[in-house]
Amino acid sequence: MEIKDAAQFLESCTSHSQPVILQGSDTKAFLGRKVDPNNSPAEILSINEHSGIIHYEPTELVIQVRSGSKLADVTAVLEENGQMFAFEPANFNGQSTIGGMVAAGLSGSRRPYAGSVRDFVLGAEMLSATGELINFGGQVMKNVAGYDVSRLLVGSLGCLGLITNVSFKVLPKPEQEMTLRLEMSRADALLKMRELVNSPLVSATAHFDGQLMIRLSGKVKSVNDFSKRLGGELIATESSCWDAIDGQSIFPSEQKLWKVSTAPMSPLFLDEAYLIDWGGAQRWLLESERDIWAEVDKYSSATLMRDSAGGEYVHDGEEVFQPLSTLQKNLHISLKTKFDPAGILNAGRMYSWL
Amino acid sequence: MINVDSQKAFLKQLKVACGHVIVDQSRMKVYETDGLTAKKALPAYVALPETIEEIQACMRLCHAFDVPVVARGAGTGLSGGAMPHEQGLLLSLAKFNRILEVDVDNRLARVEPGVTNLSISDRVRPLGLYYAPDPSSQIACTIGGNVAENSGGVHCLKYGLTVHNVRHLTLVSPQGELYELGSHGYDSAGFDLLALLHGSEGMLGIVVEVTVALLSVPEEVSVVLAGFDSTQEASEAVGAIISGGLLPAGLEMMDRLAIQAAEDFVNAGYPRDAAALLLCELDGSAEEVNQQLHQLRQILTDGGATNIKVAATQEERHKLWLGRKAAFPAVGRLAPDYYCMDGTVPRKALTAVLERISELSRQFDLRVANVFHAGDGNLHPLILFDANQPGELDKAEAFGAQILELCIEKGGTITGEHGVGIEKIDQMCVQFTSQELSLFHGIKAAFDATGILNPGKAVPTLSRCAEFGAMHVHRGNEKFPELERF
Repeated sequence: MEIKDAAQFLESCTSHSQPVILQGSDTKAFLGRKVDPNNSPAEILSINEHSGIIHYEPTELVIQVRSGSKLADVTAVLEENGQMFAFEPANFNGQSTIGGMVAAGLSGSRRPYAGSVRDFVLGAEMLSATGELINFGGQVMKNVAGYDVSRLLVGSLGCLGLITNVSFKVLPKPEQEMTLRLEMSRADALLKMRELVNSPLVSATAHFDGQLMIRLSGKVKSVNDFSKRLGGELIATESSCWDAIDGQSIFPSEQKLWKVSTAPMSPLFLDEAYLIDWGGAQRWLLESERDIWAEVDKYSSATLMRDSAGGEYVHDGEEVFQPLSTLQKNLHISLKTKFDPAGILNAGRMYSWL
Repeated sequence: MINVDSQKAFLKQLKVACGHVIVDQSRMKVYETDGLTAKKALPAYVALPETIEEIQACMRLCHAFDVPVVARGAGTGLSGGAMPHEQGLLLSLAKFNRILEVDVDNRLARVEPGVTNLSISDRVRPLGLYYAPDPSSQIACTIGGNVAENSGGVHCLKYGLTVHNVRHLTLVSPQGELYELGSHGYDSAGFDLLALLHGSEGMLGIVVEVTVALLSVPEEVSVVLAGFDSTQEASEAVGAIISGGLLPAGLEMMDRLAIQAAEDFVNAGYPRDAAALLLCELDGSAEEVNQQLHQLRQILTDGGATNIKVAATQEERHKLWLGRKAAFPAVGRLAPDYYCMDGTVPRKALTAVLERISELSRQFDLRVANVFHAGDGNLHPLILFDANQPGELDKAEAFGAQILELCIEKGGTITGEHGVGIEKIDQMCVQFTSQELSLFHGIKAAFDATGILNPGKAVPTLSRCAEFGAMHVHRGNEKFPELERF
């Protein structure tokens, strides 16, 4: 669908209160709730055909991409130029789109050491629920004109508008990467993660199954020297473990999968977690019985990343994201109303009440 | 709130709500302007609350009486964002100046909004830590103001802006309710309101507590100075450094006029005969810095640098940075007045923009000095003029307007780090469409339905859109002239 057709479609849907599901390749159906419009069934508006790189100049470290572009295609072009998305987005089923990556806002293993999806978004163009094509931010590193709508769109799960293109800051790929494995307890691993948190050569850490995995990135000599100091065993297929964590394929699917975001050294679920990564700040739990939200402190949040069935939407009616305070909830509703006055976009995808 | 009776009632209740209220005009005068001294207004009231409860009480009251509220930190902002409202309350957060907690394990510092930017780093440096964003006014500007403006600094090329370094905020809503955004981890639930609050210029809420991320002080730091025979060569070297895979902690550029002014002022050891110079800071492990330094020298030499100087010691580094940091007051000595612009362009447009600026300089017959964050493409052209000469002010304004239009035309923005405030509010109409501005108003209304927070700033009403403005410094009569700037 052309952008102008999509604009007309959205305008018409808003005027008829026709619910719409905005999606790319629908590779992250596991994230969030099933869209549950109150009245009529939702129509699907896919951004898939709106693809291609609009603008990329490696010397600028900026790429502007249509949101239907496949993440794999964009990453390949970046790689040809020795660059990368530093937030290390997971490519689910190899089909993830740029729009979906931004709307879901999921960052990968490099996040604590390089930054998140939203940290690298410089600007975005979107179609509003009323069919207006609007632009925020731009392609420059610093821009404080107006509210930062482009960063607000990151992780908004299509509840605020149809993201049509996004500009990102990209970074040079490190000359060399290697992953080391060290046998150690959870407690020792956490201390090691703390020790390495600002080491310029560390680009990922995770602990599971009694093993601490550390990825080093940088100039060849520095990485080699540092790896000798760290010790441990070098893992041959260096990327697979990180892809498996970020793509969530590393987790057994018999139980519900929870992701808890917390202060790196927090005791929260430390021992119970199946895996901890992000320097200790992210804890993955396999837990079907407990009320995880109730156990989370106010500086942390938990997300139900997968139902026990695996891969499917969570059941209707059940929430998926950490419940918000009343005031925050009201702010979300007010903002949603300003962006999407008829409430037609991905209704209920983030929260049942949104 | 129009009638005298309700004003009296408001004031009476304000004095109950907050222990420290000023209404005496002579004592309120210190609040009449921020760093943009051209814009002045006396507030109707000033309150200096000492507790969050007092802030909440003030907000509840202002909400009930529909009294505008302008929050203020140190008042070092450069776009008039903290200029008072004549019928409103100026809410000073100056008494919220405590560092509440340093969490070394999690590398976080929980601070009050009136804490100065530099004092955070000063406090944690003995622990081997620091807070990365370093606006040049960091000795005086407050962290609350940094959040409001999403402040950058010389080192934001590598370490990001305020938004990249703040994890959690506690806020008071316009209705006086207390709420929190963000977390102590890297993610939080719902829309990213934490990001939205950054750079919102006091329009959406009152920040009452900030949790910032701390970083380890780098093992090794090195600063390189390179002189060039043309600004074009210097601009191209900037592109070559970035595309060569180097990520400097800072990458700054100065042109001939700025170099000479800085040399005359502080004698930093800059090459007087160079048409432009670059200052490049590298940091990291000793090994990495060494390798990068080698690569950087090669790039600079290939790029035609005539003069390369590497500062290895703390003292040498300080000297090289001194000229850069003193460049604005130095340029200020060359003419009675100057206008400072803050446009940002893609790096590749630097050469073209600088050439166009020098053409315009000849056309308007006004000198321009350029001192700026080259790595970010964030320009700070200083237009020199004399406001006492008839017509020069208008000419300088017209010149500034053309520079900002040029920035937009080249795919850039009217403000990279100084904010819109009251100064650039009309230029917002050029950068954004009416639909985009309407959405901004929608966002504002979602947070502040009655519009009592900092009314008239940052986002123009649709009926407004008229002319450009720019920062105006008269005879060095800048607020806080002792501060390093930009």
